[in-house]
Amino acid sequence: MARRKAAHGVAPGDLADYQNAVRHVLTCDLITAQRPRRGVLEQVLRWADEISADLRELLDYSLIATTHQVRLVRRLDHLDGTQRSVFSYRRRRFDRRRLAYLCLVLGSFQRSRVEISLGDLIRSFAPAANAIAGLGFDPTVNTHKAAVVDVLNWLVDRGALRLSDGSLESWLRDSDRGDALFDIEHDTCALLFKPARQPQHLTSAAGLLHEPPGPESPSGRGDAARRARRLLVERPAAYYAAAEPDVAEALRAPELAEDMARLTGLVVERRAEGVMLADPAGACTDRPFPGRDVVSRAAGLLLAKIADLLEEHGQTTPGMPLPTLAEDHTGLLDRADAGLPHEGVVTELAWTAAEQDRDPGEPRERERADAPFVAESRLRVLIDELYEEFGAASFTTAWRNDPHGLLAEALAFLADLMLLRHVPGGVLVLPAALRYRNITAALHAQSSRAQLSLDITDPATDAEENDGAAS
Amino acid sequence: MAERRALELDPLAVGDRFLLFNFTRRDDHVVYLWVLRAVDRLREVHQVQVDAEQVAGALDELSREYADVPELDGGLRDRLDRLHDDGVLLRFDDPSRAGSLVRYRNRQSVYQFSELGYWAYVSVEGVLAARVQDANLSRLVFSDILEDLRGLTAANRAGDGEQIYRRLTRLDSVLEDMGRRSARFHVTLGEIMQTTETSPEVFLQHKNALLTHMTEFTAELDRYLPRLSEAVQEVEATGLATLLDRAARADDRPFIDHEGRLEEWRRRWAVLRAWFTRDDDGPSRADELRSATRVAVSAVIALLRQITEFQRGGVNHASQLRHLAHWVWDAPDEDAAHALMGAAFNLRSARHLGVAHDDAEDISPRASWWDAPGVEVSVPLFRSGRQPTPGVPAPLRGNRGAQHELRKRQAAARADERRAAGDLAEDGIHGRVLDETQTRVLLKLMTKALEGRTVVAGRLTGGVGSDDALLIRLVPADVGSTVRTAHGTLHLPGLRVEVNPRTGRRKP
Repeated sequence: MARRKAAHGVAPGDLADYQNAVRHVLTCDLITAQRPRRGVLEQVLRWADEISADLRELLDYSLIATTHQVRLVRRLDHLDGTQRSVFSYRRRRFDRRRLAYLCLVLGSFQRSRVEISLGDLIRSFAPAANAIAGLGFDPTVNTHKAAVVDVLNWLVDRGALRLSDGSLESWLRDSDRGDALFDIEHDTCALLFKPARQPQHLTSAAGLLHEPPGPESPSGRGDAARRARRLLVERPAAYYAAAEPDVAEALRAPELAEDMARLTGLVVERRAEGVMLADPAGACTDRPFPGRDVVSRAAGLLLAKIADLLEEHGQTTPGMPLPTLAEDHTGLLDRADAGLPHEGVVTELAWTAAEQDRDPGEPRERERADAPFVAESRLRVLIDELYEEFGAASFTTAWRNDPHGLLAEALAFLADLMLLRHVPGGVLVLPAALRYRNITAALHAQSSRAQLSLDITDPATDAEENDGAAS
Repeated sequence: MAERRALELDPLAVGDRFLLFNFTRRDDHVVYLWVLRAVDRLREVHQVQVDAEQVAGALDELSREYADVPELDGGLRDRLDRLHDDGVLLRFDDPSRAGSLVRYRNRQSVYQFSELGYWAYVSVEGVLAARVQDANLSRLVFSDILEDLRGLTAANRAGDGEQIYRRLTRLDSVLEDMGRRSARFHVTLGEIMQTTETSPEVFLQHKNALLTHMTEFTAELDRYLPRLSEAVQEVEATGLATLLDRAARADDRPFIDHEGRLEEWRRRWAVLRAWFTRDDDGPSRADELRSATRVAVSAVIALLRQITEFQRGGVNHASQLRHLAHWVWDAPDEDAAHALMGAAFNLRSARHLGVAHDDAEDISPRASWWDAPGVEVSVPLFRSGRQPTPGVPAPLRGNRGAQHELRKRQAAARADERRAAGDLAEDGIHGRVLDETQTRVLLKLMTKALEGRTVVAGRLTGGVGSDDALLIRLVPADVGSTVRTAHGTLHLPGLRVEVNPRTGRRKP
């Protein structure tokens, strides 16, 4: 395929700078003067033209860059239920009430007003909320008010609103006397909501996603390559067995991953089961792993335990076929479509999914890969062992009395990272999980220290520590 | 002008006049309205004084034309009487001859509109009949005004009092009309701008006509304003006092005396003048109108842009979001809701696994993750939850005593070494037992010398090590040397050690 390489106009000396800007764009949808940090906007705007061209060519994304905002509008291939940090405030994921409120609040900003007080906002927003059965807004219910506050904070974080007077806290305490005044940035509001098709024209959430062209269409091949690149750039790991056959084939081409590595500055890791872009700095992600927080730490230790377990038993543990991305997607799509309010759909303009979308692909072409299964009961034993070895206190006060809660949290975290996968009765261990087997040293060092009181550092551990510090 | 006189009414009189509208607040106000319409219909055919029967007949006639006319179940006389109480109608006894006692006693009252009552009725009808579409700016009147002003100049020069009166009256009414129209236009426009939030269709339908109308008006105003201003000055140049006096004389209103008329014409002229000429205290009213129209044009354009931007999707942005809110709320679980929101807003983040292999090329891409080595992770992180970072700098502690002690010890150690080196330089290293300090100095220098050796033609050359007092040279030799120390004997096979005092440097 005659195609220019990623970042081809960028001088070698500037490449690191360019890749850094690309990573910012990929991890932060809306970059403003304050978000994610001061100075990032300038850094990205310097390369806006090149990034825009590269992303359009390689991924079919479009980048909207103005002097005040940079917004990446993606072409989505799959629904993704694991993006917990996008709609969350202070690390707490929004519940459905908050999500619905967010839509309603954003929809209630009138174009003729440049500012709005919280009292007025509530007056225009409450009828819309009350029109939805079961949702409602009652100013005397504190949870409803807290939800509104979280939503407004979310908008403030993204620069869609700017607090000019008063405070949300005072309103939360006393909605009669407390109030807050916000400036509305209509440009930012318009940038936040960028659906691929208007939701009212849809009879299925599939309409929000990229529709692959038919296999006989001439753009089919380029499309598979773009889908492969998107998978590689967006997801932690791309397993050949989980991807569609044409995408898996595109993933096997070595130059594709090299190109993406050149674009993002990440490191290609190619194995028999798949390919991934590893992130040495731990910054090109919304869920850093390994990380310092207790869930990430417990997840790592759990991986080590599981790796031990698998090594002990060899590969004799009965496996299960790896589910494909398409199967995941179909399940999620069905659930999302279950909530579709049919009365709101403008049927004259309605878009309906083509039948091929729902077809999960022919199994004959797919290579069957089995992933080892670890039962729930075994996992519980493992976390209990960890609590015993490290002491419950080392898992912070929030979790010290709730090992199984932490287990669930850690498993969900690992599932988000595509290292484990929930199945009924336990989890499947996905191949990339094994790259973290070295965490085992943490366990061994701990147990050896418990037995020997002498302070003899294990040279192997020592070396790793140094390496860890250096990397 | 009528509005100006109204400002002088005292509150009591205002209250009396408001009573005229009382019928609009009564329970069956629609019936009263139709009664008044019937009376007005009779007035049109010059039946000024009417009795209840005639009103009933007129109502009948109206009900044949309009479906909405309410049925009157008697009580018409009561209603007429109540209208009389409000002051809308006047009541007289029937002045016609009865002729007999019975008829005289049954004589009925007749009713006619009072002057103010008629105005009240007309204004109520005016409000009812008002339509938004009527609003306009009177663009075409400027040429009339100019012509009238020029006519006024000519008439004053010719001393034609009646002509002056006619021109002035016309100017007065035209200006009043223009002021009212422009005020009304801007009120209507403001209303449209506010209400398009819900239904922008009306606005979009007429946007072009509206913009053309306003821009043409401003252009016309721009064109005529200097000429009008000039014409006003010309009129004044012909003698304003004479002009107004002539107009007052030609004014034949019987109820006002000459002084009163003169005063009123003076006021009217001041108003006219204020329209077109710039005073010291501010711009003329035409200027104000022009700037108001300009502001309105830009507001209309801004509104238009906003509407079209928000309507790009066909369905309103807000209704999309409301629909989505409904959808998300009805989603069966949080994951599905988030997946839906993320896709609808098109918001997500890339996600990647941390830690990469330093030597990525060494591992075969065909190896399985099961067989390939794991990545080097920082184990302390998992052991304690702390990243092995240098951390923040520790606070500086001024521990003078300890520093002093350490410095003293260091100085003593250095002095010892220097003395030992001096001993070595003086007495050599062979043939005696070296004490601990001397051994340490020797070993240090030998380490330097050994590291400093180079290989020349496959053979090691000698090495040199020195400090500030001593220089040792390692010379390759067939017979090795031996140094005896307090801790034992040091054998140096294949090397001879030569010790020399360091020259060329001052001994401290």
